[in-house]
Amino acid sequence: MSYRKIFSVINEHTTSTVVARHAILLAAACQAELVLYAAPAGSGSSILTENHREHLVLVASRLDVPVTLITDDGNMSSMIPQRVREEQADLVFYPLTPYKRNGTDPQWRTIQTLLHTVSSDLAIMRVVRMAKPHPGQILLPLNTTTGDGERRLLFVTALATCFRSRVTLFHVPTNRDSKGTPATLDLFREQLQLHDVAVSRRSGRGDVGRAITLEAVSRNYDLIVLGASRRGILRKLFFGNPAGDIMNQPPCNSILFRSAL
Amino acid sequence: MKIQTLSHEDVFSTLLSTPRGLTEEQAMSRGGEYGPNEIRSAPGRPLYLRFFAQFTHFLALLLWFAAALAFLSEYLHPGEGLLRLGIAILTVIFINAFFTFIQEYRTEKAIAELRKMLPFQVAVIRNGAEVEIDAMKIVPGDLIKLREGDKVPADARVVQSSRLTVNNSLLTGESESRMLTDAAGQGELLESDNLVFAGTLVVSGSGDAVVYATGMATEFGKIAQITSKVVEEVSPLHQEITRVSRIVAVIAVAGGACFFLIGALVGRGFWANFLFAIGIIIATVPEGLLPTVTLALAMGSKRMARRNALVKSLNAVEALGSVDLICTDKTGTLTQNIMTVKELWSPDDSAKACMVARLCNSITVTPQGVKGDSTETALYTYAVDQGAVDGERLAEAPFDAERKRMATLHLVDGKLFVLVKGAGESVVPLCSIRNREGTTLDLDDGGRAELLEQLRSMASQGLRVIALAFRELAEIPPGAIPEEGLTFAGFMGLLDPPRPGVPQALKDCHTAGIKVIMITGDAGLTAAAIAKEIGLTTGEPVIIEGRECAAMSDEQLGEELKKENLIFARMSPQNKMQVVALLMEQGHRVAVTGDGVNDAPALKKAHVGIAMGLSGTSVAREAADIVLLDDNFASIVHAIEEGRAVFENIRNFITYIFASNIPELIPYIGYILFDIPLPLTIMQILAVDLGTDMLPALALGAEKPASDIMQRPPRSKEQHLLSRGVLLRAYLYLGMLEAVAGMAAYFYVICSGGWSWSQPLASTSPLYLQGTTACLAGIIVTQVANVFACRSPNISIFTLGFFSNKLVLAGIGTELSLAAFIIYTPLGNSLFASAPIGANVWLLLVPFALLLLAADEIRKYFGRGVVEINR
Repeated sequence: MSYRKIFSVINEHTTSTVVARHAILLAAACQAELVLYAAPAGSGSSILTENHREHLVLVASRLDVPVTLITDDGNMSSMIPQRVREEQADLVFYPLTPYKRNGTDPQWRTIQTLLHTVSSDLAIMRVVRMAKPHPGQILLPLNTTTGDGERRLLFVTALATCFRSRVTLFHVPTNRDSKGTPATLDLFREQLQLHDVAVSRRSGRGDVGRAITLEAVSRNYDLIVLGASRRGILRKLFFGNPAGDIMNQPPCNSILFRSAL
Repeated sequence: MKIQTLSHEDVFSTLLSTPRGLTEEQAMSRGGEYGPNEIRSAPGRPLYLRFFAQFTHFLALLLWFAAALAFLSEYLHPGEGLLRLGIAILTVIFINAFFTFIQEYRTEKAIAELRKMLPFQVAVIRNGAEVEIDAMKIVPGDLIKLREGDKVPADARVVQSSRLTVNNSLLTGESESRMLTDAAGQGELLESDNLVFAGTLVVSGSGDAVVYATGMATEFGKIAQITSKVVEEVSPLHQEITRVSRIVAVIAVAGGACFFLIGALVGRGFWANFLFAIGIIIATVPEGLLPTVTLALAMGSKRMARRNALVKSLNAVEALGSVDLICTDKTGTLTQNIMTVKELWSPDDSAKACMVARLCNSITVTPQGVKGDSTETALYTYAVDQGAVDGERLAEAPFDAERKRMATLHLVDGKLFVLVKGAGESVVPLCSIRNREGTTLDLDDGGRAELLEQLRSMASQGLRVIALAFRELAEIPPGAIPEEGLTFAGFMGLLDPPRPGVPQALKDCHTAGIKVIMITGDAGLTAAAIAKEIGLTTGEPVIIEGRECAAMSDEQLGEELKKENLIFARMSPQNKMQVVALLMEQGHRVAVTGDGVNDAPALKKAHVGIAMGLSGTSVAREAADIVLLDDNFASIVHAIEEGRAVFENIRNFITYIFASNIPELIPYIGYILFDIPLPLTIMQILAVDLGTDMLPALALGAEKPASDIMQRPPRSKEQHLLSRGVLLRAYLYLGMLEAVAGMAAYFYVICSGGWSWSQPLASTSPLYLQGTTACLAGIIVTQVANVFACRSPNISIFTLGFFSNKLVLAGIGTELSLAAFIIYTPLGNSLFASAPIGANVWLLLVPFALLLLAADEIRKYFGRGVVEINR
């Protein structure tokens, strides 16, 4: 099973081009179609967005990736789910810009809306390094309650085979002496190895977000693929939200993946 | 696809930039996306919360509890002086909290120091024109201009290089500068020849580079991230003090509850029993322990400073004494960080080799000394020492990373010479002649192979080998300096020699059961040669390079770490921290040395981080717990000796302090069980715990290390500060003898005054006041003997000498002066509800003191016998 149509949102931010390049390369590897969805934030940004779109079309054409171009104005968070349904895309890349630029609340609302309304697999990506379009090392944190295992596995396998990346399955036991590992970890390892992906396992200690950040920085990973949290407000309040924390201040390029609804 | 592998066109395309740089609009937009180019601190716990934490650790909570009980008792039973006790305990809590809080700024300081290492102004191409901008405004895609002396503002890919040479020691620890190219290349990020990194220095040349990472996304930013995210381990002493506090809390509360029940069983009322339980708890809590430990550590740190180890974190004093493994850097710590010619190999007269070494280099001779590259300085100094001739330089072809050699044209004694110096594989192929015993021989391929074999042989000894050659010319050549047809002059092998005291210090570590592992950014062969010379390795060394280390799983690396003769070479900061973290997970107590910015994460992670004071960067110094003032490994060993002594001393004064808890407790038991007037008031307990005991206890903290302290293995994790032996000795042996003395004095006074059993005594009656004072005097007199007994758990005081610790004598003097104040002054009498006692009481107490000393001497004698048998 592989992706057939990949939908990538681009805007005036350069980070959206990095995200789209991931989408293009993945589309090339999966022989999928690509939809470049241009959604400039305002009139001043449309020229930059147009430049980015031209650049990306050129990159896609070099790789023989068929591209559909769509440009929309208006409320993105309601337009994107609709366009995704119309295009029947099975994977959406959405570039996350830093909260400081666009404000925490609007971004937060957009992401919450997309997480609840985009029907296909959704990869919300935060870029901190422009020069990492080919992730050589992917860090894949897993916990005991990962509910979107199958789709996430598909996504990571596609990424790893496309970029010939090494994948490290990372687990932080809930308490210091815990020896147990999540069942998904063995499943991921077996499945990734079936696709000739080099896999290793590592574990961390202490606070989950801090452990993932330390691992990512100290072992020079290029990309972190996090699972979207299904924690309720109370659980987030008491136990924190590691995925949210990392996406807020990522140590390297990071993707928050949520499987198709 | 990596940035270092791309063509110039692809670099610009990937980073959405052009050879004309970014436009101002693009730069502004990207500034918003990627944020300012700066090193940020991770949002940490607010200051007020960290201050609050000083009041909520376990021992502090215990003291709060004791203070609360004192206030409650005052409320229930006013006029007993418990209000003063409560206030005194609160004062102890606050003083300690402030003292400890001051130690809490290291992380922030380390990050602040990192920030200072980025430049302030940078030349950048914007809209096709060169402009100077604030380095914080650099964004990915910016085309920056780099010139000699500049600090690099961000991670960037070089697209134009004119002998652009950078020094990456900040990130890699490698001291050699690297000449960069603008061509695409392979290789790992930090080893790429076409990348520059934030915070590093342009040593010479110039170039243009396109920025691909800024701020926290740079390699430099990663160091800051690791440094700020590393969770410092709780120090062994901190763990021990917490354990002691818990044991004391259990004993105090259990004792209080137990006697509350007993009181109830003998028919006393609820409130009387409650007050009694509070008295038991207050008597058992060692209020003076926390300040005494803190002051003892401060004194330990002062002694360490005298031995060139400046302590920044008080807990590190004892932590250093408990380490069983030291991960040490090589350059500057084990070695002198001065390149020196160790060997000159020449097939004929070495004078020619020395001439090349002296003249063919780029050093500058100033009145202050020779300045320049360390290798060239060493070659020049050696050649001058050997009497090499001087000459006049006519032309020069500087060192080039691609050619790997340098050439000059010199006039020496009227003769014209081409002089060439460089890497063997670059210079030897250019040689076609060699001299042997005064005759000139052609050098064929076989001869060249022989020379290269000699070069390999020298390199295998860890020497950096430089080849030297020359050619005599008849006239000045019209074009470039001719570098072919050279006569081979010799090889010079250079080495950074070991520090003189290091081999002995390593032997001391071995005797003390401390393993030493070298972790260096230098090459494996060089590291192995030094390790062998100083006795760090005794057999075949196991060399693991940073790249191998990164490829290993934790399990594999863990297995490697168990091997002997281990050397880690070409290690990055990330590799170093990985090794340190694994060693700590394996249960080792690890000390790490470092001097560079790249060492900051490991310095912070380790139980004890030791930075170099002379050669170390401010970042390393801020991240470390201890700063070595002379950068000498031997000083670490001296400091370990002091650290071990501190643990022993803390244990000794805990024994001393705890012993006085029993004579404070027994009067309460007598009061409740046998219905006698209370022989010791709460304020008198306080007078002992926070008064008379304090200075003698501190003096015990200044005891010199035992002569065999570095012959013992490191303290195991199971060896606790408060062991069963310590408790038994303090509570059931020394404490009991003191209690007997106190109670005997009490009964002697009140019985002499006409008291009969069950007769109540008013709390203000002179007889009662004298009785309690006699009990207090009993404790003080026996504590004088006890301080001598506690100077060592097993060595006789007659061996140590009564006068060998002057502070103990001063402490006793102060203790007796305080006792005189309490007993013989009106103010002391009113504060502590005491009254003057006669000489007969003191005379009665002296035999008890002697008995205590004699009893402990007997215990020590038999104890030593058991140790001997066990040995």
